[in-house]
Amino acid sequence: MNDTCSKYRMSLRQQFDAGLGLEEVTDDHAATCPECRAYHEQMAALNAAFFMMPLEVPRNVLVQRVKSRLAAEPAYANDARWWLPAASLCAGALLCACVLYFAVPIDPWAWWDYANETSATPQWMLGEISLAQEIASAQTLWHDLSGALAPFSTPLLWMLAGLAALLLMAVNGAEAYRLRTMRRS
Amino acid sequence: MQPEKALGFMAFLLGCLTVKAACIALSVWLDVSAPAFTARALNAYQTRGKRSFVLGTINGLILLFLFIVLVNTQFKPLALLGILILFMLIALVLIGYTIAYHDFGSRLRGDRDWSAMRATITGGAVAELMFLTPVVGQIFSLGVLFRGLGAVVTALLSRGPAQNEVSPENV
Repeated sequence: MNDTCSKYRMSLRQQFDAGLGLEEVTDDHAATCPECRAYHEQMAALNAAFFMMPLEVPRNVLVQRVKSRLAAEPAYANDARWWLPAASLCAGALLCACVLYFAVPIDPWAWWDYANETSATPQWMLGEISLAQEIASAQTLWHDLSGALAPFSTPLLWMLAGLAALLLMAVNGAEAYRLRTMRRS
Repeated sequence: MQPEKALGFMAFLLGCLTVKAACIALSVWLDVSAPAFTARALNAYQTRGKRSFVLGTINGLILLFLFIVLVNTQFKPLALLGILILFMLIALVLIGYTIAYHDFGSRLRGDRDWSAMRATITGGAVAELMFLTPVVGQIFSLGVLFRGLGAVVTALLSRGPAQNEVSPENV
Protein backbone atom coordinates (compact mmCIF):
# COMPACT_ATOMS: atom_id res chain seq x y z
CA MET A 1 0.00 0.00 0.00
CA ASN A 2 1.59 3.24 -1.13
CA ASP A 3 0.88 6.89 -0.51
CA THR A 4 -1.79 7.02 -3.20
CA CYS A 5 -3.61 4.11 -1.54
CA SER A 6 -3.52 5.90 1.81
CA LYS A 7 -4.94 9.09 0.32
CA TYR A 8 -7.60 7.17 -1.57
CA ARG A 9 -8.68 5.27 1.54
CA MET A 10 -8.70 8.44 3.57
CA SER A 11 -11.01 10.09 1.05
CA LEU A 12 -13.26 7.01 1.18
CA ARG A 13 -13.44 7.18 4.97
CA GLN A 14 -14.24 10.89 4.89
CA GLN A 15 -17.09 10.25 2.45
CA PHE A 16 -18.28 7.38 4.64
CA ASP A 17 -18.25 9.57 7.74
CA ALA A 18 -20.13 12.30 5.89
CA GLY A 19 -22.84 9.80 4.94
CA LEU A 20 -22.27 10.11 1.21
CA GLY A 21 -23.13 7.29 -1.18
CA LEU A 22 -19.89 5.46 -1.93
CA GLU A 23 -21.39 3.67 -4.90
CA GLU A 24 -21.33 6.85 -6.91
CA VAL A 25 -17.67 7.47 -6.27
CA THR A 26 -15.54 6.75 -9.24
CA ASP A 27 -11.81 6.87 -9.02
CA ASP A 28 -9.18 5.63 -11.36
CA HIS A 29 -7.09 4.30 -8.52
CA ALA A 30 -9.70 1.69 -7.54
CA ALA A 31 -9.66 0.33 -11.08
CA THR A 32 -5.94 -0.25 -10.97
CA CYS A 33 -5.46 -1.38 -7.32
CA PRO A 34 -7.26 -4.61 -6.34
CA GLU A 35 -6.72 -4.05 -2.59
CA CYS A 36 -8.25 -0.61 -2.69
CA ARG A 37 -11.12 -1.88 -4.84
CA ALA A 38 -11.83 -4.54 -2.19
CA TYR A 39 -11.62 -1.85 0.49
CA HIS A 40 -14.03 0.32 -1.49
CA GLU A 41 -16.47 -2.56 -1.82
CA GLN A 42 -16.28 -3.24 1.91
CA MET A 43 -16.99 0.36 2.74
CA ALA A 44 -19.82 0.50 0.20
CA ALA A 45 -21.39 -2.64 1.68
CA LEU A 46 -21.11 -1.20 5.18
CA ASN A 47 -22.59 2.07 4.00
CA ALA A 48 -25.51 0.31 2.33
CA ALA A 49 -26.13 -1.70 5.51
CA PHE A 50 -26.22 1.50 7.56
CA PHE A 51 -28.66 3.08 5.14
CA MET A 52 -30.95 0.07 5.54
CA MET A 53 -31.11 0.49 9.32
CA PRO A 54 -33.93 2.70 10.65
CA LEU A 55 -32.75 6.01 12.11
CA GLU A 56 -33.63 6.23 15.82
CA VAL A 57 -33.44 9.67 17.40
CA PRO A 58 -33.24 9.50 21.21
CA ARG A 59 -36.46 10.80 22.68
CA ASN A 60 -36.50 13.57 25.25
CA VAL A 61 -38.02 11.20 27.79
CA LEU A 62 -34.99 8.95 27.38
CA VAL A 63 -32.64 11.92 27.73
CA GLN A 64 -34.36 12.95 30.96
CA ARG A 65 -34.20 9.38 32.29
CA VAL A 66 -30.50 9.10 31.52
CA LYS A 67 -29.84 12.45 33.18
CA SER A 68 -31.74 11.30 36.23
CA ARG A 69 -29.74 8.06 36.42
CA LEU A 70 -26.49 9.93 35.92
CA ALA A 71 -27.44 12.25 38.75
CA ALA A 72 -27.01 9.36 41.16
CA GLU A 73 -23.43 8.86 40.02
CA PRO A 74 -20.74 10.52 42.13
CA ALA A 75 -18.72 11.48 39.07
CA TYR A 76 -21.57 13.65 37.82
CA ALA A 77 -22.80 14.82 41.16
CA ASN A 78 -21.23 18.24 41.68
CA ASP A 79 -22.11 21.51 40.11
CA ALA A 80 -21.12 24.36 42.32
CA ARG A 81 -23.10 27.15 40.69
CA TRP A 82 -26.56 25.93 41.70
CA TRP A 83 -26.84 28.82 44.18
CA LEU A 84 -26.64 31.47 41.47
CA PRO A 85 -30.13 30.85 40.08
CA ALA A 86 -31.34 30.29 43.65
CA ALA A 87 -30.04 33.63 44.86
CA SER A 88 -31.32 35.41 41.74
CA LEU A 89 -34.73 33.83 42.15
CA CYS A 90 -34.86 34.80 45.80
CA ALA A 91 -33.71 38.37 45.24
CA GLY A 92 -35.93 38.85 42.18
CA ALA A 93 -39.04 37.52 43.87
CA LEU A 94 -38.49 39.62 46.99
CA LEU A 95 -37.85 42.74 44.92
CA CYS A 96 -40.92 42.19 42.74
CA ALA A 97 -43.08 41.47 45.77
CA CYS A 98 -41.93 44.62 47.58
CA VAL A 99 -42.32 46.83 44.50
CA LEU A 100 -45.77 45.47 43.75
CA TYR A 101 -46.95 45.66 47.31
CA PHE A 102 -46.07 49.29 47.72
CA ALA A 103 -46.62 50.46 44.14
CA VAL A 104 -50.20 49.27 43.71
CA PRO A 105 -52.82 51.34 45.50
CA ILE A 106 -54.86 48.34 46.68
CA ASP A 107 -54.09 46.40 49.81
CA PRO A 108 -54.17 42.69 48.83
CA TRP A 109 -54.89 41.67 52.43
CA ALA A 110 -58.16 43.60 52.33
CA TRP A 111 -59.45 42.30 48.99
CA TRP A 112 -61.78 39.73 50.49
CA ASP A 113 -63.39 42.26 52.83
CA TYR A 114 -63.71 44.86 50.10
CA ALA A 115 -65.19 42.35 47.66
CA ASN A 116 -67.91 41.42 50.15
CA GLU A 117 -69.06 44.95 50.82
CA THR A 118 -72.60 45.71 49.69
CA SER A 119 -72.33 49.46 49.29
CA ALA A 120 -72.98 50.97 45.89
CA THR A 121 -69.47 52.29 45.63
CA PRO A 122 -67.09 49.46 46.50
CA GLN A 123 -64.84 50.51 49.32
CA TRP A 124 -61.83 48.81 47.78
CA MET A 125 -61.89 51.39 45.02
CA LEU A 126 -61.25 54.03 47.62
CA GLY A 127 -58.69 52.13 49.67
CA GLU A 128 -55.20 53.53 49.63
CA ILE A 129 -51.94 52.09 50.84
CA SER A 130 -49.92 54.27 53.12
CA LEU A 131 -46.29 53.28 53.47
CA ALA A 132 -46.22 54.44 57.08
CA GLN A 133 -49.35 52.45 57.92
CA GLU A 134 -47.96 49.34 56.26
CA ILE A 135 -44.70 49.60 58.17
CA ALA A 136 -46.64 50.12 61.38
CA SER A 137 -48.82 47.09 60.71
CA ALA A 138 -45.76 45.00 59.86
CA GLN A 139 -44.17 46.10 63.13
CA THR A 140 -47.33 45.18 65.03
CA LEU A 141 -47.38 41.78 63.37
CA TRP A 142 -43.74 41.22 64.23
CA HIS A 143 -44.35 42.42 67.78
CA ASP A 144 -47.19 39.92 68.16
CA LEU A 145 -45.00 37.16 66.76
CA SER A 146 -42.20 38.05 69.13
CA GLY A 147 -44.71 38.26 71.97
CA ALA A 148 -45.43 34.60 71.47
CA LEU A 149 -41.88 33.92 72.67
CA ALA A 150 -42.26 36.12 75.75
CA PRO A 151 -43.56 33.40 78.13
CA PHE A 152 -40.33 31.49 77.63
CA SER A 153 -37.33 32.55 79.67
CA THR A 154 -34.17 33.38 77.76
CA PRO A 155 -32.18 30.30 78.88
CA LEU A 156 -35.10 28.05 78.00
CA LEU A 157 -35.44 29.71 74.60
CA TRP A 158 -31.75 29.32 73.86
CA MET A 159 -31.88 25.72 75.00
CA LEU A 160 -34.82 25.12 72.64
CA ALA A 161 -32.95 26.83 69.81
CA GLY A 162 -29.87 24.73 70.50
CA LEU A 163 -31.92 21.56 70.56
CA ALA A 164 -33.60 22.56 67.30
CA ALA A 165 -30.23 23.16 65.66
CA LEU A 166 -28.95 19.82 66.95
CA LEU A 167 -32.07 18.08 65.67
CA LEU A 168 -31.59 19.74 62.28
CA MET A 169 -27.97 18.61 62.11
CA ALA A 170 -28.85 15.10 63.24
CA VAL A 171 -31.66 14.68 60.71
CA ASN A 172 -29.64 16.08 57.83
CA GLY A 173 -26.52 14.19 58.88
CA ALA A 174 -28.42 10.92 59.04
CA GLU A 175 -29.91 11.59 55.61
CA ALA A 176 -26.48 12.42 54.16
CA TYR A 177 -25.02 9.24 55.68
CA ARG A 178 -27.89 7.17 54.30
CA LEU A 179 -27.45 8.66 50.83
CA ARG A 180 -23.71 7.98 50.80
CA THR A 181 -24.02 4.40 52.04
CA MET A 182 -26.82 3.77 49.54
CA ARG A 183 -24.61 5.06 46.74
CA ARG A 184 -21.65 2.89 47.81
CA SER A 185 -23.82 -0.24 47.94
CA MET B 1 -63.95 53.02 38.92
CA GLN B 2 -61.26 55.62 39.07
CA PRO B 3 -58.79 55.18 36.20
CA GLU B 4 -55.74 55.11 38.46
CA LYS B 5 -57.33 52.38 40.61
CA ALA B 6 -58.20 50.30 37.55
CA LEU B 7 -54.71 50.73 36.19
CA GLY B 8 -53.27 49.82 39.56
CA PHE B 9 -55.38 46.69 39.72
CA MET B 10 -54.30 45.71 36.22
CA ALA B 11 -50.68 46.44 37.09
CA PHE B 12 -50.97 44.20 40.13
CA LEU B 13 -52.33 41.31 38.06
CA LEU B 14 -49.69 41.90 35.39
CA GLY B 15 -47.00 41.99 38.06
CA CYS B 16 -48.20 38.68 39.50
CA LEU B 17 -48.09 37.15 36.05
CA THR B 18 -44.59 38.52 35.53
CA VAL B 19 -43.35 37.04 38.80
CA LYS B 20 -44.81 33.64 37.92
CA ALA B 21 -43.32 33.78 34.42
CA ALA B 22 -39.96 34.74 35.90
CA CYS B 23 -40.10 31.74 38.25
CA ILE B 24 -40.77 29.44 35.30
CA ALA B 25 -37.99 31.04 33.26
CA LEU B 26 -35.58 30.62 36.16
CA SER B 27 -36.62 27.00 36.38
CA VAL B 28 -35.42 26.56 32.80
CA TRP B 29 -32.24 28.47 33.66
CA LEU B 30 -31.56 26.21 36.64
CA ASP B 31 -31.91 23.14 34.43
CA VAL B 32 -29.35 24.58 32.00
CA SER B 33 -26.88 26.02 34.51
CA ALA B 34 -26.99 23.22 37.09
CA PRO B 35 -28.27 20.10 35.33
CA ALA B 36 -26.79 17.62 37.80
CA PHE B 37 -28.26 19.42 40.80
CA THR B 38 -31.66 19.66 39.09
CA ALA B 39 -31.60 15.99 38.14
CA ARG B 40 -30.66 14.93 41.67
CA ALA B 41 -33.40 17.05 43.23
CA LEU B 42 -35.94 15.85 40.67
CA ASN B 43 -34.93 12.27 41.32
CA ALA B 44 -35.46 12.77 45.06
CA TYR B 45 -38.76 14.56 44.46
CA GLN B 46 -40.13 11.80 42.26
CA THR B 47 -38.76 8.65 43.86
CA ARG B 48 -38.69 9.62 47.55
CA GLY B 49 -41.71 11.89 47.84
CA LYS B 50 -42.77 11.10 51.42
CA ARG B 51 -39.21 11.21 52.74
CA SER B 52 -38.65 14.52 50.95
CA PHE B 53 -41.85 15.92 52.46
CA VAL B 54 -40.82 14.93 56.00
CA LEU B 55 -37.29 16.23 55.51
CA GLY B 56 -38.61 19.49 54.04
CA THR B 57 -41.10 19.98 56.87
CA ILE B 58 -38.45 19.41 59.56
CA ASN B 59 -35.95 21.71 57.84
CA GLY B 60 -38.50 24.40 57.06
CA LEU B 61 -40.02 24.60 60.53
CA ILE B 62 -36.72 24.42 62.39
CA LEU B 63 -35.08 27.06 60.18
CA LEU B 64 -38.11 29.32 60.65
CA PHE B 65 -37.94 28.84 64.41
CA LEU B 66 -34.22 29.60 64.43
CA PHE B 67 -34.84 32.72 62.36
CA ILE B 68 -37.45 34.00 64.85
CA VAL B 69 -35.25 33.29 67.85
CA LEU B 70 -32.10 34.77 66.33
CA VAL B 71 -33.77 37.94 65.06
CA ASN B 72 -35.26 38.61 68.49
CA THR B 73 -31.91 38.57 70.20
CA GLN B 74 -30.25 41.77 71.38
CA PHE B 75 -26.91 40.65 69.94
CA LYS B 76 -26.93 42.11 66.42
CA PRO B 77 -24.59 39.65 64.65
CA LEU B 78 -26.93 36.84 65.65
CA ALA B 79 -29.86 38.82 64.25
CA LEU B 80 -27.92 39.14 61.01
CA LEU B 81 -27.43 35.37 61.04
CA GLY B 82 -31.19 35.01 61.46
CA ILE B 83 -31.81 37.17 58.39
CA LEU B 84 -29.32 35.07 56.42
CA ILE B 85 -31.18 31.94 57.48
CA LEU B 86 -34.43 33.50 56.28
CA PHE B 87 -32.93 34.36 52.88
CA MET B 88 -31.49 30.87 52.55
CA LEU B 89 -34.85 29.35 53.43
CA ILE B 90 -36.67 31.48 50.84
CA ALA B 91 -34.11 30.55 48.18
CA LEU B 92 -34.43 26.85 48.96
CA VAL B 93 -38.22 27.04 48.89
CA LEU B 94 -38.25 28.81 45.53
CA ILE B 95 -35.81 26.28 44.08
CA GLY B 96 -38.09 23.57 45.45
CA TYR B 97 -40.96 25.06 43.48
CA THR B 98 -38.86 25.02 40.29
CA ILE B 99 -38.16 21.32 40.90
CA ALA B 100 -41.91 20.80 41.23
CA TYR B 101 -42.34 22.51 37.84
CA HIS B 102 -39.98 19.94 36.35
CA ASP B 103 -41.95 17.13 37.96
CA PHE B 104 -45.25 18.47 36.64
CA GLY B 105 -43.68 18.84 33.21
CA SER B 106 -42.35 15.30 33.11
CA ARG B 107 -45.72 13.94 34.22
CA LEU B 108 -47.55 15.96 31.57
CA ARG B 109 -45.06 14.96 28.90
CA GLY B 110 -45.72 11.25 29.27
CA ASP B 111 -44.60 9.57 26.07
CA ARG B 112 -44.78 12.74 23.98
CA ASP B 113 -41.53 13.95 22.48
CA TRP B 114 -41.37 17.31 24.24
CA SER B 115 -38.07 19.06 24.87
CA ALA B 116 -36.98 19.68 28.46
CA MET B 117 -37.73 23.40 28.10
CA ARG B 118 -41.22 22.84 26.77
CA ALA B 119 -41.97 20.31 29.52
CA THR B 120 -40.73 22.70 32.22
CA ILE B 121 -42.68 25.68 30.89
CA THR B 122 -45.87 23.64 30.51
CA GLY B 123 -45.41 22.07 33.93
CA GLY B 124 -44.79 25.43 35.56
CA ALA B 125 -47.82 27.05 33.95
CA VAL B 126 -50.11 24.17 34.92
CA ALA B 127 -48.73 24.06 38.48
CA GLU B 128 -49.24 27.79 38.98
CA LEU B 129 -52.79 27.56 37.63
CA MET B 130 -53.47 24.72 40.05
CA PHE B 131 -52.13 26.78 42.94
CA LEU B 132 -54.74 29.45 42.12
CA THR B 133 -57.60 27.11 42.99
CA PRO B 134 -59.24 28.49 46.14
CA VAL B 135 -58.30 26.72 49.40
CA VAL B 136 -57.42 23.38 47.79
CA GLY B 137 -54.79 25.01 45.60
CA GLN B 138 -53.15 26.72 48.56
CA ILE B 139 -53.07 23.50 50.63
CA PHE B 140 -51.60 21.69 47.64
CA SER B 141 -49.07 24.46 47.20
CA LEU B 142 -48.02 24.05 50.84
CA GLY B 143 -47.48 20.33 50.29
CA VAL B 144 -45.43 21.02 47.16
CA LEU B 145 -43.42 23.61 49.11
CA PHE B 146 -42.31 21.15 51.80
CA ARG B 147 -41.77 18.29 49.36
CA GLY B 148 -39.71 20.51 47.05
CA LEU B 149 -37.71 21.86 49.99
CA GLY B 150 -36.94 18.31 51.09
CA ALA B 151 -35.89 17.34 47.58
CA VAL B 152 -33.53 20.32 47.37
CA VAL B 153 -32.03 19.50 50.78
CA THR B 154 -31.57 15.89 49.65
CA ALA B 155 -29.85 17.06 46.47
CA LEU B 156 -27.51 19.26 48.51
CA LEU B 157 -26.72 16.45 50.93
CA SER B 158 -26.04 13.97 48.14
CA ARG B 159 -23.26 15.99 46.56
CA GLY B 160 -20.50 13.69 45.38
CA PRO B 161 -16.80 13.92 46.21
CA ALA B 162 -15.03 16.68 44.30
CA GLN B 163 -12.11 14.46 43.26
CA ASN B 164 -14.46 12.36 41.12
CA GLU B 165 -15.83 15.34 39.31
CA VAL B 166 -15.79 15.12 35.52
CA SER B 167 -13.59 17.76 33.97
CA PRO B 168 -12.14 18.26 30.49
CA GLU B 169 -8.76 17.15 31.83
CA ASN B 170 -9.82 13.70 33.02
CA VAL B 171 -12.39 12.87 30.34
